[in-house]
This record gives sequence, C-alpha cells and structure tokens, in this order.
Amino acid sequence: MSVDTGGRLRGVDAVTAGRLLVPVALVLLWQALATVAGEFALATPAATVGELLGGFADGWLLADLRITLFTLAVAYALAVLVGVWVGVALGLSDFWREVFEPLILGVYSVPKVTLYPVFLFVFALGVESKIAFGWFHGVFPVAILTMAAMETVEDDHLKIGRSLLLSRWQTFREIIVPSILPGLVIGLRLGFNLTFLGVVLGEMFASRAGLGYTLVEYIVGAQIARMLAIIVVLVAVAAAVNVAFFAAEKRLGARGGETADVRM
Amino acid sequence: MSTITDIGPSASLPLTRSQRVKAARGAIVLGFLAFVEFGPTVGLVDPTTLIPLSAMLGELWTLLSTGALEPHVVQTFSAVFGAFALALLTGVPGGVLLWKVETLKEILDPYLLIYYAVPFFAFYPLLISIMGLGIAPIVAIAWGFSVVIVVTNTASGLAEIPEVYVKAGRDMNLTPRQLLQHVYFPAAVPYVFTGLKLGFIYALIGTIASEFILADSGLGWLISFNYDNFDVRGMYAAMLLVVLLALAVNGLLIAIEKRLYRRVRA
Repeated sequence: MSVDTGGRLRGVDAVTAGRLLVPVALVLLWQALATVAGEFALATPAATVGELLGGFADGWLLADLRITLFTLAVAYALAVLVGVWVGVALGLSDFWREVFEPLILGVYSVPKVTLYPVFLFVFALGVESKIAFGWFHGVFPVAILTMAAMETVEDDHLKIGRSLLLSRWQTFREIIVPSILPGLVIGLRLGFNLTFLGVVLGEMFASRAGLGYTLVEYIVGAQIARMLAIIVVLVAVAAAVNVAFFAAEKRLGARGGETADVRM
Repeated sequence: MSTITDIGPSASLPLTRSQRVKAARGAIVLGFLAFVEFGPTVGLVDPTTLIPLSAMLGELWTLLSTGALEPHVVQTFSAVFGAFALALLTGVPGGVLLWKVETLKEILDPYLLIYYAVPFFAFYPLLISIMGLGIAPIVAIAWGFSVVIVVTNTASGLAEIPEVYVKAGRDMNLTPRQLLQHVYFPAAVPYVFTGLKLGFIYALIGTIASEFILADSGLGWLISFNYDNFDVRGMYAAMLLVVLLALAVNGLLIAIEKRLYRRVRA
C-alpha cells in the first residue's frame, strides 16, 4: 500500500466512494420517481421501510420468508448434491462427458419455466413442486461448472490416489475437491442464484405460500409498499449470500464466471 | 487458411470413438422420446399428466393449421423483439461507455456482477400494478433481464481487441473516429455478438416467464391458461412449441456466432 502514489490512492478512493454512492443514488432515484408518480402508483422508500419493519413485527413477512428460505435451502442442498455428483462423474470419464455435455447444454437453453406444469403434475401444489423446480434451475450451473472445473484435476494426482488405494470418498475429498474448488465455488454461487430464482418463480405461479405467492397476491389490492418490502427482502437475501460467495471466491483466487451465462 | 482450421482437436480422435459417442447420445435421446411416446400408453405414467409425443405433435399441428396459435406467437415475438431492440439500443452504448470510462466500470463492476443474482421476476407484479396488465410490463421485464448481459459483454468484448490492431490503426494516422469505425467496431463484432446472442435469449426467457406468471395472451400465457383449465393436450402442444422455438433460436444464434469467431481467428 505504501508504494502507491498519491494519484493511485485518489483513484482507489474515487472508486470506493462511487461504489458507496450507487445505492444512495438508487434510493434517491426511487424517491424521485415515487414523488413524481404519486404515492398510490409507487410507494416511497420510507413507506416501504415502514411496511418492512411492520411486516417483521406483525409477522406476515416473516412467515412467508421462513417458507421461502426453507424451500430454497432444501432445493439448493439437493442441487449441490446432484450437480457436484454429476459434474464429477462426467468429469472423470471423457467418453460420458462428450455424450452428455451437448444434451445438458441443450436442456439448459430451454426456458425452464415452460416446464413448470410438469413439476406441478408430478409433485402437486405443495412445497415439493417448488423444491423440485428450484432444484431444476440450480442443478445445471452446478453440474456444468463442476464438469468444467474437473479439467484442472491432474491425472498424476489421480494415479497417486489409486496407488495409495484411496477409497472413492477419499479420492473425492483429498484430490478432487481441493483441485476443483476455485471453479466449484463459482458454480455453487450461480447455482444458488438460479435455485433462488426458480423457487420464487415457482411460488409466483400456482402456490399457496411464500414470498413469491404473496407478491402476486398483492397485485389485486395494488399494495405497492408491501410488494416493495418483499422485493427489498429478496434483494437483501441475494446480496448477502453473493457477498459471502465473492469473499470465498476472492480467497480461493477463483477466476471467470463474471460473464458466465445464467439461464433460467 | 482452411487447412489450418481443419486441424482441430477432433481430427486426432479415432473415428470409431466419436461414432460411439454419437451412438450413446442418440440412444439417450431416443430413450427419452420413447418414454414420452410410450410411457402414457403402456401405463408407466398417468395419461392425464403426460400425453404421447405423437399426440403433442398432432395437437400442435392442428392448432398451427387452424391459426389458433398465431395471435400468441405474434404477441410473444412482438414483446421479445421489442425488448431486444431496446436492450440493443441501450446496452451497446452503455457497454461502450463502460469501456471508455474505466472508473465507471470499476464502480459498477460489483453491482453488475450481482445483478443477475436478484430474482428478477419479483419486479413483475410491481410493474403490473404500475403499468397495468399488457405488453408494457412484459417488455420492461424482458428488457431489464436482457440489457445488462449486453452491456457487460460489449464492454468486455471491446476490451478484448488485440492491441496490435489499434497500434496499426494509429500508425496509419487514423483519427479517433476513424479508429472507432474501422478498427474497434469491426474487431469487436464477434465479441459483441456473444452479448447480443445472450441478450436475445434472455429477452425470450423474460417474455415467456412473465407471460406464464400473469398475462392476457402469448405463448407463456397459453401454457399456464391450458394448465389452469385442465387442457393437457393444448398445454403440451404449447410447451412443445416453446421448447422447439427456444432450441431453434439457440441453435441459429450459436451457428452465426461460430461463423463470426471463425472469421476473427482465421
């Protein structure tokens, strides 16, 4: 740090200051739009925060948040489990990787939301269909990025593992995971984001509970402030989890994934 | 030129292996199609929840030939092209701006990175409340979903241009405008196209998902409407059409992209 010139430091400060100003600018823009449009068309940030606090105090928001987070947690855990397993299995076999890669990428390119009724048929209207739908969104990026990261595993390391008679689990834990970790973390982040999107999308259509469900319910009464309160909660959850992932990626020196294709 | 590009990684593989790969892949696809076709008739799956592939195709053909699907196809593609045109007009200049103004890019980078982490469709009910039900909130959502990928890919695409091109241009005493016109833009075409490809696909997904949640027409709406009304045949026909359209659009854009990159690397 001490070798930095004054100019460089000023540049860094400008970027930091700018980054801190972005949320401020967004809130100001929101306030300006609300003022122009009138409070019935767009609630002000203050009114939204009021609803948000009220929602936590009297519980309407908290109950939905619990349901959404529970669905998300189960769906994500399953997406990670299956995605990593598929990615590692295909990564270990050149043949099966070549067979499945175009198929997986092909299915990934279809707008998954169109297939949601199939999930509803199979799992009915309860939480299971949302879990399955969230899983379906998240499992692809996890599998695809794990598969790509498997290329960084050195064959020699696997050979050593075999000569040491490591079990499958030991090979996975001691050789594969340390090798693929930087790429894997990016896959886990994208997988989380898509699972979250899938869960909320699932709740918005043919559901009886959750933040997505309540959001659509409020269209009828045009409860703008409450809608915005839900959106703020969703954005906060996404931001918090992603910031944690970014920190992990930075520590592991993970590169790429910034422009990775996120499809739903 | 072509002799160089012919030496790809596939040339070194024995032919029998790639044939085996294709055979295995074909078997999986055929197995899946056979399951959809015969599963409902043999009794593997409940025929009220899945109809045979041939029935889907038959229903799709009937709906297409009677013109029943036409208004929905028109509605969906108006929204997709409208949103994509807006994303193009706002996203490309936005990307150029970020490429030119380094500080701005540095400031916005974390936000651009987190943008697609937000479950974007949460804004759709809000936009319906503000704009009313119709094509406007759909175009708005599809634009929002599509524009950022265009911005980031344009900015990173322009940054990707080899320094040699720019140096060569400067040596010819090109003015900054000429440099932009004759060096930067032609060189950036393939990279920018990648952003546009994703932008179009995102606009398509954004439109169909919005229609699916709540709308009054469009292909996404048709699927959810038929689902709500227990019209399983109509639902699968619309679903099949959307899947086929998505695969076709995807395949076409990837083919164009490959062609553009081949020109750059040659």
